[in-house]
Formats: sequence, structure tokens, C-alpha cells
Amino acid sequence: MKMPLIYLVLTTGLFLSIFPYLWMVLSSFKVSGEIFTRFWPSKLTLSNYAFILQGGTGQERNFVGSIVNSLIITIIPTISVVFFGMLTAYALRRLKVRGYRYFENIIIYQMLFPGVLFLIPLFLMMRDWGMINNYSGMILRYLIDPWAIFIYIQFFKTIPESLLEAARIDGASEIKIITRIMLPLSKTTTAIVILFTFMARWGEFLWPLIVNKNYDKMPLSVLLALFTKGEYKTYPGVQMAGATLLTLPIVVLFLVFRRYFEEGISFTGLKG
Amino acid sequence: MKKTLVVLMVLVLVMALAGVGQLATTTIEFWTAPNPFQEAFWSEVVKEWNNTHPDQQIKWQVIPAGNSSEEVILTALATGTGPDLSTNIFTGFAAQLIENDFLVPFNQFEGFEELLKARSMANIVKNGWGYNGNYYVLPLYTNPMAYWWNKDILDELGVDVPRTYGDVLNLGAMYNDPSKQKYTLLVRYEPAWWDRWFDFCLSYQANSGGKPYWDGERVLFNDEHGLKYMEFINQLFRKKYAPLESFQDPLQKGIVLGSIEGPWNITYTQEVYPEFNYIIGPPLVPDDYPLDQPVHTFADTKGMVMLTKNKQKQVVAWNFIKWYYSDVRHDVKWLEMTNMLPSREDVLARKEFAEYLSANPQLAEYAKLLPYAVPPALNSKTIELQTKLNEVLWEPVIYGKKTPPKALNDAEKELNKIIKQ
Amino acid sequence: MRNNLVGRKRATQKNLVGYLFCSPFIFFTLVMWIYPFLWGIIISFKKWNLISPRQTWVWFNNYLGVLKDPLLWLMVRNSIYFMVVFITLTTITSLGLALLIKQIPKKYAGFYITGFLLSYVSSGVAYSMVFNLLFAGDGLVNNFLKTVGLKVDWFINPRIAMASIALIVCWKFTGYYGLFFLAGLNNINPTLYEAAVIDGANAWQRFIKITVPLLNATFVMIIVFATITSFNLFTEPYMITNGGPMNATRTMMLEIYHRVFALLQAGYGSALAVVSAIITFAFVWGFRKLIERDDLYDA
Repeated sequence: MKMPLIYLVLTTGLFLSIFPYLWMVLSSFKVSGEIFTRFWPSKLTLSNYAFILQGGTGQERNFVGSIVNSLIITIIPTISVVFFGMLTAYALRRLKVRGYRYFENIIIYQMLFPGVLFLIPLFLMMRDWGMINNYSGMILRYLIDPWAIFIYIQFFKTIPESLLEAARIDGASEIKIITRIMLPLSKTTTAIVILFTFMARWGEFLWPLIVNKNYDKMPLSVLLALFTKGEYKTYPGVQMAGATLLTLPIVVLFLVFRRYFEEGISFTGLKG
Repeated sequence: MKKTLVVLMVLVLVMALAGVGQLATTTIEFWTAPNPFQEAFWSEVVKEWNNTHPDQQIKWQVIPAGNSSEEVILTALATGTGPDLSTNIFTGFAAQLIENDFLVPFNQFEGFEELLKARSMANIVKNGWGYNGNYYVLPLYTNPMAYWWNKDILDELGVDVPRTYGDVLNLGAMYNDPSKQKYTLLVRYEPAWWDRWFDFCLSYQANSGGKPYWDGERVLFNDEHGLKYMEFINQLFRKKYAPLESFQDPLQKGIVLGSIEGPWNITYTQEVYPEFNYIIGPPLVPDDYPLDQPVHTFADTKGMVMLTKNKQKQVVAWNFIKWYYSDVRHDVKWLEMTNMLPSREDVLARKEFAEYLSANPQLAEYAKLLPYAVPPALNSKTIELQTKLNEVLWEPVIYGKKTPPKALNDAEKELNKIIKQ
Repeated sequence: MRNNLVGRKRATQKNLVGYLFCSPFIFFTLVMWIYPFLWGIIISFKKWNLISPRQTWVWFNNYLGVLKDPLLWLMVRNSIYFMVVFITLTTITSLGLALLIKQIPKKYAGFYITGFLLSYVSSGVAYSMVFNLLFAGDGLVNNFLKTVGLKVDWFINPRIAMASIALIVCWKFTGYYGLFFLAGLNNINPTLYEAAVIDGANAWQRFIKITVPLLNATFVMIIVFATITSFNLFTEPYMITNGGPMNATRTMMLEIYHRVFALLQAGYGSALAVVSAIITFAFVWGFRKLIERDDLYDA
């Protein structure tokens, strides 16, 4: 194919690909009459954002609070997944504890296991443990992610043992080896783990929908969905303002981490 | 110095308040319907109560409804995080809750009969809100449903407001043109179970003179009344007189000529479409429906229930209920803020309401339908039944997969199975 | 001798530390995987409304109910429909994207990759809301199509509603899968192509005989993932169609949610979850049998 043609196809595709975003952001600044009729707004308004940030009619929809909630139920699992992912992978792949191959098989099974099987019993467990309507209920099941362990294992395979032996001879403890040697070496892998975990938890919908019905603890994704499906069906501008708020943080995070994303993708495997 | 003083004073105040709070405050959890107007209303009412009753506090929140309030309340109850007091409960759902032993009967409390009289709702409650001789729900509002018609276009066409199915089909024949986004009647095709209240259930009640479409034992809708309506629906969709696509406010934008609406849409329409002229009319009926007979309609009516088993909380909840229901000011305020009609027998008679209604002619049209407004048929499996109704009757007819008689027969069979389970 | 002893001591110590490091994971696996897994199976043999203390054993009754319900087969059909449309569309768009990007200089490639990946990071709730409005009857897309005399009832026509959902999910994944295909392409040894050119193979032959077989691992990965996605679909139909029209977008996930949390039928819901997991596994296994190849030319 000729070069100009390639660029033309790619640019058209790119336009189609980001068009929904573009429309979403533009619509969030439009007055409601123009959302369906015009592409470029004739005038910009902040009223949709004001509406959403002041909580609609002013009482219960605390969107600002829900952003904080989303951050809480996103950041804690992200840190935990990285920490335990590295720790477990190190023990299995570098220390090669007895039976590590069994463990690795278990991890692969866990990754492939359909989550639907766990939905109901996990919900009942949260109920019996009194974790309905609070953060722990939303967080607990996500503190360790077999996928993260798996990709750390993949990465740790590539690190030469001699490097670790040298450190051990110098008297470094295993914890020190992890923090001083493994962590700096696995920057790309860690970036990938952070990015994917953050994305998954930030956009999580079904689980917090089930285990939390309290507005004060509700993450943005759930609040926005209830808001859209329920009583505010007729406010498309406000919906788009909410969708923009929901999308923005991950877009920023992605742009920050995109270098690692492309680098890491080739060996990390797939993640939903 | 001044600053320190202020800080000190605030501290003392906070501590004093906290002290009072610790004395003997009982707090109950109160949930209300997810509707912007009701939300604003309850916010004010609860504030008023809390300010005047420091030892009996109400923690209020809107039911976090996604698919439906019923679903949310059920899961909350299943997890022990449900409310102590809740609004937005219709009879069938109340029955479901009673069967699972969640509700507290109100008639065991002192002053129950007096309260019914004070709010002028004794007849309403006794005829339709009882369950095995007990009363678990106190109705808040009764919204008769009505048809809205686009006045300007009807005038332009020189047509009267349609009364029968035949009128609508004639209107469609002269006006309808999907290629220009001109449709005749809006019929909701969405699969939400409660949507069927406002079309199938409503029309069955209209055609049958207010009879229920099922009871606790079996399905009753498979007769000429049900059939005439479903034939009409079939015609509408086969001729494309009803749009099978989603529009934002199609009636107000002149995409359809008529639609079934609740009174809660009056305010919204006024705000967003101030230019829109419409006429409010009773439900459509079959062509052979006698002219001199009144037409019944469906009443969207919801009430308040008490769920707490804690005696202390029950006292607070009951005090709040007495305070709320016995004061006519609350109902007046309700009417003004939500544009929904309170469930009282004196709405048309009492002057506080009459004043508001005469200033709001559209709502007055709804109030006129009150004597003929029939609440939903009582069955504790309403949600399951209407989900199935949708699947075996409504959608197959709309999408032309089944003839109306076949769909009605199938629906009767399937729904009876659920009732008998 | 001494060395050996030290070695053994080191090994024991390593094991101790290792198990210490592993213990959170082991504990987590026991509590969050094995225990709920067994419990889920047990519930599926019971009749229970989540609330009452009474749980009755009904053994295979729930399973019989699930298998006898025509809705199950409709849901499986819906998922297969989704899978076919989604896999076809995404393979075309993402492989096409990768092939094109492979041909442009690296410094520009980064820009395009980043742009195409932006759609991948959007969350289900947000993009469902956006597409629901974009694809409405009087929405922007239909207004545009109207200018060329077309109109599509994206989410309303029961025949195409599931395809429309597949389309928007494809929008999300094109860039992401494209990246995998690109990685796969970069792993192919260029000398293979050179040899093929010398043998007189044209571009199409090279694509079919070299590129496609050598991307086998990528294909397998993507198809397995697409299969799991289609059986677990929840957010998009929940937000946009609620399973309608005519149950055309009803998925097993939606039904499980509805059964358990709206009708409180925990036993039935669990049985459906087990059946759904088995069906998913069967499809994944079948696909791998069908397309996975281990023994190809060394890339």
C-alpha cells in the first residue's frame, strides 16, 4: 500500500476511535437542546458540571464524595496487588519453595476460572462478616490478584540468579533483595500491574453494586449508573458530564504510563 | 484572642450537642423514592422533624434504585442493611414483604383509627391496602394515569381528542408518516416490568370497568378486554403508528401525538418545553365501549411501611408517621412540591387542595380521574409476573412474533404456573 | 561435606522464608477461592431465598430447572452471536491496525498506538452511556445516517441489538488487541518473508502462509478472551438494553443477577452460575483444540 493511503486509513480510524470521547466531552459542555442536534456547541455551559458536582437537587448525590470513594477502593487494592504479587512471585520463582510448580498451576487455574461462580458465595460471605455497605466489602476480594503474580513470575524468570547470589553473599535479606533489586528492575511490569489494576477497580461496576447500597460509600461508576438509569434519564448533558469525570482519571493515568504499556504488553499476557 | 474565644464557644457548643445526642437519641433509618421532586420534599420534611425532635432523629436517604427500588430494598433486607421505615411501596411488593415477615402492622399501634380519620383515608386504606385483616401500608399518594395529546397538531388536523382505539387508528391513517418522524401514539416497548402497569394493566382496567387483571389465585386477563387491547397494540405496531425506536421526550417534541403520562411529568414539561400545548384525557377504550360509562384508569399509588423490629425504633417511626399523616400542611406541601395527588378522600373537597388545583388546571384533570383510579391488582409475585408478562405477551406482540390470542393464551398459562408455585 | 550442609541449611531457610512470603496468597486462595467455590456448589443444590433460615436440599432440581428453561438456550445463542460478531470485527480491525502500523516509521507509530488505546481505558459504565445516546433514534449517528437515507435501530431491533453491543465492545478493544497483533508481527523473523519473496509468493500468499500461522498464539489468546467476555457480559446490556428487546441481549450474568438479587432465588442462581461456568469452559477448551498449534516454524 502507498504511504499516504496508510496514513489516511489510520487517521480515519483514529478519528472514529476517539470520536465518542470527543462527543462526550463536547456534550458535557452543551445546553440540553443542542446535544442531539449539533456537533459543535453554539455556546459552552458549565451547568452540567455544576449540576453534578452540587449533587443534582442538592441532597444525596454526592459526586465529589463518590470520586473519593472510587479512589479508596481503587488505590488500596492496587498497592496490595503489587505488593503481594511481587512477594508471592519472588517466593515461587526465585526462592523456588517446595512445590512451587503446583502453586504456579493453581495461579493459572485461578486466572482462567470464571468469576461468576464466586459472585453469590462471596456476597454471602461479605454479608456474614458484616461487610455490606462498607469499603472492606468492596475491597477485600481484590487484595490479591493471581494475574499480577503470574506476570511477576514471567518477569522474574528473566533475571539472572547470579545477581541475587551476589546480593546474598553481601548479606542482604530476602526482603531487601526484593525492595532493592527486584523492584527497580521490574519497573515496567509494576507499571503494567498498576495501570491494569487501577483501571479494573476504577471501572468496577457489578461487585460494588451488589455489596453496597449506601450513597456515602458509593463509587462513581455505580452512582453514575444508578443516576442515569433511574430518575435522571432525561438529563443527557449531565450524564455526559458524569461520564467525562469517570473517564478522565484513567485517561490521565494511561497517558502517564503509556510508555510501559507498549513495552510491557509483549510478555505480560492478556488482561480483561 | 477573639479567634480563641470563637473556637472555644464552638467547642462547647459541639460538646453540648454531642451530650444531648448521647442522652437518649433514637435514630431510625428512613428511605424514600428516587425522584427529584420527592427527594426535595422529604429533605425539607425530615429536616423539620429532626429540628423539633432532638431525641428522635431520622437518618434519611433516597433508595439507591438502579433497576427498581424493590430490588434494592430486597437485597438490603437480605443483608440486614435495610431501612426502618420506607416509602415507595406498592401493594404487591408489600405482600411479598409480608410473606417474608418483614413488615409491622400499623393497626397494632395506638391511634391507628384516629389517624385514618384525621387524614381522611379510612375508606382508601380499608378497601385495598389490607392484608389478612391487618394494615401494613399507609398510602402516600395516588396518581391516576392519563393520556396526553398534542393539542396544536390535533387542532391543525381538525380532530377531536381520540376516545377509542378506532379513533387512534383513523388518526394514524391520516397523519402517520415514519419517514418524517410523524408517529401517532407512544407505546413503551422497554422490557422493564413496571412499564406494563401503565399500558397493559391500565388498559385492562379501563376496558373491563376497573376489574383486576389477576388475583392471588390466577390470571384473569385472558378475555375480550385483554384481547381488544392487544389487537389494538398489534395494529399500532404493524402499521408503524407507534415508534419502535428511542427518542428523548417524543411527545413534547411532536414526534408522537399521544402518550400515557403521570402527573409528575407536568412540572418537567413546563420547565423544559414551556411552549408545548397538550390536552389530558382518560384512557382509550374499545370502539364498542358505551359512551355514558365512566372510564377507569390505573392508579400509581405507593405507601409507607415500617420494617424495624426494634420496639424503641417502632415508637419513633410511629410518632413520625402520626406527625406526618395527621397534619394536612404536609399533604399540601407534598402536592405543591411533587405535583402528585395525596391519597386522601378530600382532595377534591378541601379548599387547601382546591386552591392549588385551580391554579394548576392540568393536575386538576388528573384529580378528576381519582374516583375511577384503580390500584394495581394484588399479588405478592407481581414483579415475577410482570417480568414474564413482558416476555410472553408484550414483546412477542410488539415485534409481531405471535398473534394476540396466542400470546394471551401463552401468558395465561405461564403466569398461572408462577402463581401456583 | 560442609558445603553440602550449608547448602541444605540454606535450602530449608529459603523454604521457610518462601512459605512465609507465600502465606498471604495461600490464605487468600483458601478463603476467597476454595471456600466460596465449594459453598457456591452447595447452594446450587438447595432452595433458599437468602433471608429465611430455612434451606432445603432440592438436589438436582435447580439444575433441571435451568436446563429446561428455554431462556438458557436463548442466552447461550445470544452469547455465541456476540462472540461471532465480536471476534470477526475485532480481528479485522485490530489485525488491520497492526499491519498498517507495522509499515509506518516508529516515531509516528507511537502516536497512533496511544490514540487507538485511549478507547480501551474507558470504563463500561461510561462508554455504555455515551453509545446509548449516540445510537438513539434521534441521536447523532442516526442523524448522520439519515443524510444518506439510512436508519438503524441499533439497540431496539432484536435482530441486531446484540451485534450493536458487540460493535461497541469492539470499539473498546481494537487498539488493545492491535497491540498484541503488533507484538506478534514483530516477533516474526523477517528472513521468512524474504525467502518467500524469492520463492515468488505474492503478498496475499505471504500473509496466509506466514503471518497468520505465526500469529497463532495471539489468535488463541484473543479468542479465549473474547469467549470469556461474551459469557460474562453484564455492564453493557445492564446499562443499555436491560436484556431486551425480546431477550435478545439477555446474558447469563444478567439473569443470575436478576434471579439472585431481584427474586432472591439463590439456589437457582447458583445452579445457573455453575452451568454458565461449564459452558464457558467447554467453549474455551473447544476453541483451543480447534486452533491452537504448538509445532510451527521457529519464529
